[in-house]
Order: sequence, then structure tokens, then C-alpha cells
Amino acid sequence: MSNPILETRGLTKVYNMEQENEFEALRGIDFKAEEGEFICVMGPSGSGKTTFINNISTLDFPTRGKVFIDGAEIRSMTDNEIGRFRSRTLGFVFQEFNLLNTHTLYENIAMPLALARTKKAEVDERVRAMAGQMDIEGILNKYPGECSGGQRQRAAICRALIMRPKIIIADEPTGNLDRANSSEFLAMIDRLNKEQRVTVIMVTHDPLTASYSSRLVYIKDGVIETSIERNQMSQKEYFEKITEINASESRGFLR
Amino acid sequence: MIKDALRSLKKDLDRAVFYWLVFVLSSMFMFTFFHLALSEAVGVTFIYSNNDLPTFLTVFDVFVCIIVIFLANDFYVKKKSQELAVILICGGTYLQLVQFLLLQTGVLMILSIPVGIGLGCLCFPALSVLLKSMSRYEIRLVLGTQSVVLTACVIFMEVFWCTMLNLGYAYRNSICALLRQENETKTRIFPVIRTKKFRCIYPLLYFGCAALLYTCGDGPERMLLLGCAGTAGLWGCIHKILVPGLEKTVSQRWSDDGEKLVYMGLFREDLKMSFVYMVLFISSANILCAMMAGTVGNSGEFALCLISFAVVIPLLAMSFMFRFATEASGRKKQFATLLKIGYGESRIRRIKTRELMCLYGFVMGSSLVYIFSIVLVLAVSGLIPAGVAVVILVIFTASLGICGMINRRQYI
Repeated sequence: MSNPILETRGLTKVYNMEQENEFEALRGIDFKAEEGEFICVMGPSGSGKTTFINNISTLDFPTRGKVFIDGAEIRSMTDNEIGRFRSRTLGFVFQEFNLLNTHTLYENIAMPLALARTKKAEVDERVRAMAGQMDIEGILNKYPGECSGGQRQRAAICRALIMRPKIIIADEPTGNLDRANSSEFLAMIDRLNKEQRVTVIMVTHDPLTASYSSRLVYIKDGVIETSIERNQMSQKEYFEKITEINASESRGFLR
Repeated sequence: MIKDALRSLKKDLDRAVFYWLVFVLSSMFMFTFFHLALSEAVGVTFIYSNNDLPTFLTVFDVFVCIIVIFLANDFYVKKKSQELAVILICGGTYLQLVQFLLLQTGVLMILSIPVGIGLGCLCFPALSVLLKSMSRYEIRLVLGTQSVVLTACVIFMEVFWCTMLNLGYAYRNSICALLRQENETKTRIFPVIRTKKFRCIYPLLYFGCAALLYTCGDGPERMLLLGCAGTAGLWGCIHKILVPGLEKTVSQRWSDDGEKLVYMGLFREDLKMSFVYMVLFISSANILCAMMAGTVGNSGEFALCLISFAVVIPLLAMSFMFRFATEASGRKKQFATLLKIGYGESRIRRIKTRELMCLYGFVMGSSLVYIFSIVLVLAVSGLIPAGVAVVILVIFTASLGICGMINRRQYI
């Protein structure tokens, strides 16, 4: 097996440490993601999915344990190094798009490149090429407030991919999209994963969305309870398996 | 509801303190103004009044106070919209929302009026000396109950109506905002003008009128006319040249500089909202300086104009500060996004500082083109003493400078 692109060892996150309402959101998680994997993180509300995602993507830091991304331990980096690393290695896609409303789509997409001081001509070329792929080339001069949800999400994806990151982190990316836009988004992520071997780690509640992944990680009460590999399963078989896990979780609450 | 209102007041203490400060300063300024207006030297009666200039000045000052209190109220109430939505969802009535907000603003107002009046009284001796040294006119200020009553009435009415107006806005938008957050599609408020034909008229109008002030702007009427034409030029410069220009250049010129790309984009957005304040600054300075020029020989009215300037400009600067603070408070998510895409904390601090410098620099610069020209022309023509001209410029720059520093402290 090749070296993991992302690894956690004993990842523990405690909120309100040594206070009356101390809460352990993640409890010693060991996790590995290989290059080119498409991993879906599922679990009930409050199970620690978003905390997990935040900790493996440098947005938050673990209370105990270690996180390695592309061989580098994030705790050993300075604030500036983390920023640079985040901008070059990770691409983020969120449910609420998180575009800057004060800037046009072009400027939003160009931001990570501008931060890396890429030459203007190259910025322009890459932004237009990426926008062309996502079919938003004609609306690059519009502000996010003037675009539909699908267009905004596509712009957010362009921004996430413009630096050609090794890992895409997506937190409920289809939560604000209708079925047609969701399918389109998932097909695109799937294509990126397969053609460009971009590692995808995505949090979702939706079994259909999860059925696009190559591995499912089910988190419950701050630990990885189950993990399923898709392997040779068809999408339908995999979807049914995911639905079964979700259903068994809900069944536990039946009287 | 009373308990909830007081708890809410305590929760947003920093905003409450700002809001209280606006009340204190507004009541202090109003009190000083009314005292001077009702003094023997000016002798405004407000009943069957035929004192044209003082009556007009009173209306003008009250209008500016309304704008300031409205914006301060907006700054305070906007943060409460989620709390209002929760009250509504829990079955609260409109009347309960009125109680909830009016209790908070009422407490702040009651706590501020005596402080404002007290500070106003403390200013009397210094004010008399200052007026005498600048204008060589002696005005005796004696504490009177009529101005206390007038100040309290004006502030109360303004607070009440501003709260009701903002409540109406929050009522319509709070549930919507709670459910949909930022998902609504907005339309462009200032569409980009594509026609380039007549664009050069605007800078010509703006700078041309400023230049004409030096040659033929020594009369109050001509000064007002040139000021109005210059303001129209400024409007065109901002909305038809600067903002569309920035829309093009930000992405083309600064796409290789991560910091500039962000702060120039933010500055472009700020420009759209700051135009109205520049107009208010220029027209207030214009109107008040023109009036001042017309009151030479009447010590009371001259002092009243000067006091009005000293009242109106800091109040307008404060309203600008609040407007920006309201805008900035809605940008927390944007800066969180910048952090996520790789901008470090130190970069974001630099972006905010530069955005503020650009904004305040632009507002100060473009307003000073006119204010400086007006006072210089008046001083050179001997219509106002040179000391007064310096004081006017100091009041303007100091007010905006202090407000800029407060904004920076709060923003960063």
C-alpha cells in the first residue's frame, strides 16, 4: 500500500476542557486516506462528523493525537505555513457556498491564485478554463447575490479546485442544491476523483450522495463505528448497504 | 419581557455602549444648540417664529440628529433580528416586540440624557471663551429649563420613531433571515453604466465647480449652487466611473496580489454606501459655511452657525462610523471564509486596515476638496475669521479621524 495522503493517530477533540460542561466530540480516532480515494463520512447529528472534518483540514486543532497531511504534521506548522498549506493542498466546498458577496465570481475564484502570487496571465487563463469546465464562464462578472444556488456552488467548486489541491474537503455540499444540481455536482466530483485522482472526503446525510464514494466511514459518538469499502459493488448495492446502516441506527430508537 | 430585554441589553453590551454614546453626544449637542438658539443673543421663540436662519438651522440640526440616531438604532437592532425571530416563532406578538426593543432603547436613552445635559453644561464656560476668542463676540450662556425640555423631547421623539421604523424592518426580515440566511437572490442596486460618452462630464463637474469656488464662489448663493453641482459630479464620479472601473480593474490589475484583490473589492462595496455621507458632509459644510458667511455682524447667529457645524459634522462622522460598523458586522462569515481558503489572521488584519484607510482616505479627501475650498474662499474674502476656518477644518478631519480609529478598533 502507498503512503496515506491523510492520516490521524488517536485524534481526540475535547470542548470546554476542565469545565462543568466538558464534552469529548472525538475519541481517539485512527484514520487513513490513500491518494485518489473518495471517502464519505456519515453519522447521526452530533456524532462528530463536522468536528472530524475540521480537525483533518486544519480548520481546528485536536486536543490530543496527531494529524498528518501529505506527510506533514499540522501541529508543527506556524500560522502562515498552515495558511499556505491549506491554500495549496486542500480545497473546501461547503453547504452555504461561502463565497464573498462583495466580490464577483471571477474574483472569488481567483483568490487562492492571487494569494499564491500567480502571474496575472496565468490567473486569467486558469480561472476561465475552470469556469468553462463548470459552465459558468458567462457569469464570471456577476456577484454571488445575482446568481442561482447551483451557479454559486459551481463557483465555490471552481475556487476549491483552482489550486489543483490534492484533497477536496466537502461538508454537506449538496445540502442547499436541488436534485438536478446535486447529481451534476456529484458526477463532477466523481469525474475529478477518477480522472485526476483527487482525494475527496465528504460529509453527508444523504445515502444517495454517499453511494458515489469508494469508502464509507460511519461515525457515532466520536468514534468510527463502521467502515465499508465499495470494492466491486454496484452503486445500487452500495447504496442499499449504506441505507441499511442508516436504518439500523434509526431502528435502535424504535419502541 | 422586561427581564428578556434587560438580558439582551447586557448580552450586547459593547453595542449598547456605542448606542448610549450616540444618545449622550446627540443630547449634549442638541442641548448646547438649543441653549444658544434660545439665548438673548439669538432669541428664537419657536412660536410664530420669524427668525429665518435660526429656525432653518434648528430643522437642519434635528434632521441630522434623526439620521445619526436612525443609523445607530439600525446598528443596534440589526443584531437583534435573530432574537426577534425567536420571539415571533415562540408566539410573541408585535406589541411584545415593541416592548422588547423600546425597553432597551428607553433604558439607554434615560441613562444618556442627564449625562448629555450635564456634559453640555460643563461645556458652557469653555464654549463662551472659545466663541469669544474666535469671533470676538461675547455670548452669555445661562442654564434654562426650556432647552432641557426641548432636547429631551427631540431625542425622545427621534428614538421612538427610529426604533419603530427599524422594528418594522426587522419584523419583516427577521424570520426570513432566520430561515433562509443568505440564500435570497439580490439584484444589483447600482447597475454598471455601459455608455462611455458623457462620463468625462462628472469629474469636470466635480473638480470644475471646486475650482470655480475660488473665482466666483464668495457669495452664499453661488457657493450653494456650485456645491450642488459639485455633488452631482461626485455622484457620477463614484457610480459611473469609480465603481464600474473598479469592477473591471480589481480582477484584472490585482489578480496576482491576494491582499489587494480582497481589500479593493471590499472598498468598492464600501464606496457604494459611502456616497450619501460624502454628499451629507459636503452639503452640510456648504450650507453652514454659506450661512456663516451671511451672518457676519450678528454675533448670536454666527455663533449658532459655528455651533451647528461643530454639532453636525461629528454627528455625521458618527453616523458614517455606525453605517460602516453595521456593514462590517455582516462580514464575519466572509473573513471566516478567507481563513479557510488560506488567508492567515495577520493577512486579514492587514486587509481590514487597508480597506479602512482607503475608505476614510477617500471620504475625507473628496469631501475636503470642497470644504477646504469653501473655508479658504470665505477666509480670504474676510467673511469668516482665519481662526474659524482652521477650526472648521480641524473639526472635520478630527471627527472623521476619530471615527475611523473607533471603526478600526471594532473591525479588527
